[in-house]
Amino acid sequence: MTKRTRLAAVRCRMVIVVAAVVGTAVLGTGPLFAQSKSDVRRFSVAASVGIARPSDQAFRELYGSLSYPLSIQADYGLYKNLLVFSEYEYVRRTGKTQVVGSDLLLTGDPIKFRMHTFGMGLLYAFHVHRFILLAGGGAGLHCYSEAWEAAGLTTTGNKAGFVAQGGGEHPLSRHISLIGRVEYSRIAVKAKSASENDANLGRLELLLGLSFHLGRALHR
Amino acid sequence: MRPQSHSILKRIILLSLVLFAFSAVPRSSDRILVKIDKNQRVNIDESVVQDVTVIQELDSCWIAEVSSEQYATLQQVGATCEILDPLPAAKVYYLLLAASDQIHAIEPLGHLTVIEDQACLFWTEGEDFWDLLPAQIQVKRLPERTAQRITFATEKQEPVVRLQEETLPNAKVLQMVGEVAKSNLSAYIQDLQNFQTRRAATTSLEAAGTYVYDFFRARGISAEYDPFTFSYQGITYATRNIVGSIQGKTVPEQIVIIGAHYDSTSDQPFTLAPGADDNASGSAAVMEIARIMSNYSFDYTVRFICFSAEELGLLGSRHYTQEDARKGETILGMIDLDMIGYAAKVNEDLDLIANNPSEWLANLFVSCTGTYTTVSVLKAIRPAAAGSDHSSFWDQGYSAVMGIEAYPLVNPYYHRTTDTLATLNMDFAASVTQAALATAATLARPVSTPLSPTNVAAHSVIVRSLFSRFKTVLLSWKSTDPTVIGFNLYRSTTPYVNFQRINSAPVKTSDYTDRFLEPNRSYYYVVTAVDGQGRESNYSNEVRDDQKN
Repeated sequence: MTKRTRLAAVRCRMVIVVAAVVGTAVLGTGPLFAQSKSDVRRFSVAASVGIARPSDQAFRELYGSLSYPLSIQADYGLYKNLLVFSEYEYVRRTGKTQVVGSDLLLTGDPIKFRMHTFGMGLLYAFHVHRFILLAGGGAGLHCYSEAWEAAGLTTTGNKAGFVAQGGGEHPLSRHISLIGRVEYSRIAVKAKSASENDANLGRLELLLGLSFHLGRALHR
Repeated sequence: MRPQSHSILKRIILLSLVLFAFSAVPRSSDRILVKIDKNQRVNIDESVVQDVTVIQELDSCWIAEVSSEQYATLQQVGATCEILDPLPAAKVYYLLLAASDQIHAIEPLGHLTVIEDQACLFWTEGEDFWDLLPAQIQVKRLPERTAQRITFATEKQEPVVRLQEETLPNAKVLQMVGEVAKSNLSAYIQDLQNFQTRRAATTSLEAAGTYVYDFFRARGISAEYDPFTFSYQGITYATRNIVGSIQGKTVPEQIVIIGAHYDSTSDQPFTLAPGADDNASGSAAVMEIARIMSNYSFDYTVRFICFSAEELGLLGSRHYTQEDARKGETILGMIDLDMIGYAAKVNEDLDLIANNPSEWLANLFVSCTGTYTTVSVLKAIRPAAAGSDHSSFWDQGYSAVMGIEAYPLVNPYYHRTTDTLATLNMDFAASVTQAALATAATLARPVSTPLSPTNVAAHSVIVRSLFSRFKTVLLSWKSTDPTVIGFNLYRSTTPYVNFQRINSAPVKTSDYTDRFLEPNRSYYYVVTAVDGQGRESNYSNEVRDDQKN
């Protein structure tokens, strides 16, 4: 493991710890704060799975055109229709190496890609009948790694990027809603892909899941 | 003055100025013979001299032909560049290597310019000067152009050793060296001396040529005449180089040459020129080496050449190398033996002359001499030592060295009728023959068991993930040896040297994939074959990734 790779791993672990601390604080104090301060404010935690299309063609060539992210997102009502969200997302893909610029049929080596994303941002919520529609954006820290075991090589790194999301909620019970979300992210990283240009680890994804509310929900 | 006449006068002046300017600008076809110093006091961009036609490299300068524009450019950049002849067209130039006390004898014969110590440029109309030249002067007829180029920086070619590096003597080379017979050398020299004279343009030289030719044939060596003509005193004569050859077993297109001139001269050249030292000694060494090597097989082709008309300006080797260059032959290296029998002292050293690009061959010669013989070698980088056949190989860009008993010459019988076998030290001649044989055999690589793989090819591709990319080289080769059970592969990032084995156990198939290499680097490979007893062949021909061999 190179010095650069070790540094990146340490930084990634620090980010996870910080996110855990922040997450615990939000989860622990959020409901109390929400209940005591205002009825219209709320706290919710949503878990969702989805389907994503990576934006980068080189990525798609190596790992396929679809991936399946898992997401946990916490929303906290700040003011009227404005919410702050914090999100953790995990995506993992396996693929095969590719031969560049040759018709030679070589069997590719298996490669593995993993990415943990810690995002935070603002959402604007508004009601349409029994639905709540949400739209917003923020920033995310993406900790990624690629393992090429045959070469004994693992490349890790982290990169900040922006996240835009929109979606809707439909209440199933007093505390539970069905949620659907579309998310777009852009994560430009230095990569040694075919063109030796930057690669974009970002993706367009569609997520479906359940949201659990604490405190009074926004929907009526 | 009236306005009209004033206008006419103005026109005349203008026209005169234009004509003057036109005549002052040299025409682009103008050529000038110049001397360009190697040790320039100013930094000169090499692009200024890249198209200059080098005619001869000397120790301190180049003799070159330049256009007027090139000369003007050289002057502009402050180069030390001296005009030797402003009108070189259709002239034949000679390089005369003469001691300072001999120069006065040459001066009346034509145009003589001392270029550097003991090296003079000479030209004259006609060829009457030959018989008037002092016999002790070495003469080289200069070519119209050479493959050499001007580089002001000290350009030393990488010390390329084009063979499998060996720390121990090769048993076969050792065996060959042990077969050199002093009595054989003496007999060959005596035979050549018995022709009375071997001056070019004599029938006895041609008889001597036939003697060498028959010698090769009698020992099963493929031999042929390499005929050419030359003009002497207005008459055209025909003569021949004698070329013996042992075909290489695995890489026959690579050629190792060992050569010597078999003509002679003296102060009575047409009646008596025994030339025992110059150069029956070198020719005898070539014959003895050919006799011994003909009993062995080599990876590379070995040629044994006795050149004619060396004493008339290296004409035989000039003809041969020009033909070779025309055919595009790959001459790995040439060893020239010229005067190897006279020892001025006990334990005489062998002087070994090379130019910069041939230094690798000189180093190999020194190394082989140390490994296989007791003679000591004094290596010298002397581009001006152009008075023998190695110089013709330099002119065509081939690597060549000359082995000589002493340079400058010390043999008091040089080019005299007294240059006979009785004046030679045959122990010294035998040692030098052993050294040359060891070098030639090492360079040509005696075939070991099993045979080296052939048709080695390498094809490289880039394999990538998202964050990494590596070069993958696919190697393939052929082997016709049925005793072979596997192959070893060696890789280097430098041509010809530093090969490291890359496979842990012999590869059973005739292909191999070398992976995870740096994508922007060139790699060089050789393959060896391994037989059932674990014996390894010589290296195959080297192949660079993406270069078919």
